[in-house]
Amino acid sequence: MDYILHILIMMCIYTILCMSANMLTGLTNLISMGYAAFYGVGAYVTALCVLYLHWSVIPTLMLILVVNSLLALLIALPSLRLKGDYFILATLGFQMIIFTVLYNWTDVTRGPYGISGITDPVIIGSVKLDSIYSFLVFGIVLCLILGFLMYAMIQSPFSRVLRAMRDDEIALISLGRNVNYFKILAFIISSAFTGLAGYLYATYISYIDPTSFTLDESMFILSALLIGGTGNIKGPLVGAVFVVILPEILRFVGLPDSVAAPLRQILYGSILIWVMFNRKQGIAGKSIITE
Amino acid sequence: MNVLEINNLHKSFASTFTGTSGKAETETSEVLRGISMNLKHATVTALIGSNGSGKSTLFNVVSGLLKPDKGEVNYRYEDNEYNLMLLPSHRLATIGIARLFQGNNIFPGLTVLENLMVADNVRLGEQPWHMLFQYRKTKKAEKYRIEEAESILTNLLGSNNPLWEKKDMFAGNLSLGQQRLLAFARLLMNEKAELFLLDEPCAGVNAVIREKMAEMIQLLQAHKKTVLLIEHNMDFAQLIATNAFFLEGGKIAMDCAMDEMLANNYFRKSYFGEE
Repeated sequence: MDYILHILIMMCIYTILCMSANMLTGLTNLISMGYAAFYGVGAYVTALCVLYLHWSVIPTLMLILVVNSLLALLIALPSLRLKGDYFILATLGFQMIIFTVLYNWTDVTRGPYGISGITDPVIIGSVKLDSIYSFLVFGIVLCLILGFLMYAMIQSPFSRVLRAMRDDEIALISLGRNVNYFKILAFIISSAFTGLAGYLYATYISYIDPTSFTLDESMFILSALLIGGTGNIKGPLVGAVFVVILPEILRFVGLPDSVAAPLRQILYGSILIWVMFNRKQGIAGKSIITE
Repeated sequence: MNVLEINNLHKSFASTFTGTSGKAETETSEVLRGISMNLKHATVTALIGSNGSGKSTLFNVVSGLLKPDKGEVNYRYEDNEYNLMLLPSHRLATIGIARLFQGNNIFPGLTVLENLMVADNVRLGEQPWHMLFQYRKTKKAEKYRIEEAESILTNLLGSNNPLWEKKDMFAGNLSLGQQRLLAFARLLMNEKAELFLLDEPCAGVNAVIREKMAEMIQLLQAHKKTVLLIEHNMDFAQLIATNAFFLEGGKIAMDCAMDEMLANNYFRKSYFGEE
């Protein structure tokens, strides 16, 4: 039973990550390579707040939102003037910097040894996140809140402006919209929400180290989103379920670990190529050309 | 009264390439060479010139997408005068400047109706928190936008027009002519628009859509709007424009009434190549 609950909690974590990535990549076509960096910052802020400050859930989540928003603003201001490939490189640089800081700032992050014992954060009063059930309920609640916010945004004129920006920036400027402002806003929202997945991960696993937040993880999040689909709520959910379930299926095939791990990578890669050729909007994404 | 005053506008483009000696060389081409022109309120003016004469560059400078090397562009709107060179390009729509691009520049991933709605100058609902904290107002603004967009599709374009039938289709699925019509209709969503910069509105459209375009431009003039259009189709230009500028080699070579220009020997020789 615990095994199934673990899978469901991991699905919640990746749903949050994919929904956040959808806000940026899905609605604006801006591809960030820094998702894992923001995920990692969220996890480390959680570890420090829970272990040293003994903060409860709400203030820690608030701090994650603030820290990630400020970091995103710092990155966005110089790099959002860059377009396409250059923006990808700027976020790639950010991803590298954060990983290096997490790995080498040993006084705070304990470097490669990681931080352990991030347990039992208080929700309110004496109610704690101390069982696998409580984490699942917390994860689902977090997903529902985020899902509701994302749904409201996707239905709103705000999303229409982002989608218009994705299609043609010059035309949108001529219609009186400040595209840099909207890019920064989308980047901040996406980065802030990515950090929330870091909270769930750090408190559930109770141990974090920099290797969980590498460039590979950023690409994995992006792949999950692209496979699931962009531009709506269903796509990120399908992507998250898919990338969490697939390795578990391989587990039952009975392959040795030395084969299963590379086989999983090959499968992800092949599926991504298949999706890009045959269903560019992803498995459950919103199609643009209807003919 | 002049709506737009352009004084001594210069714009050059530099390109760097590897020369025959193997060294990097820079070549500068001056596209606008001291353009000065005035545009009177509530007139339709044609900007005529052969390909590469600098018409689109002039439009790009006026609409803030390119910074000139020298010169100034002053614009009068609601008793205020603006130096357009000092404003960020996205501010221009808010002071009544509407631009139709040579390419259609529609939003293919938005529906026809959404293409119109995104052009509304009322911004309510466009901040992410509006949907949460100003839900009723946002919904009301959306309802108004839909009505406005539908009214443009039905009243201005007439009943049985192709855009009305395809209003919920993605704009990327429209034919090029229909996309052109949509791009034009989108300009009409901005109620504040006073100056319309139209870059070849009839390029690549059939006679029916061309006629519709002419009707709409005449309607703009009837509503005291100012129109500056780039056009290669002289029949169309003669039908709707009263004044004309002839742009040649980055300079204004002629500034007169449209009919007078078409009858001018120098113009006919330079533009049509008549002997």
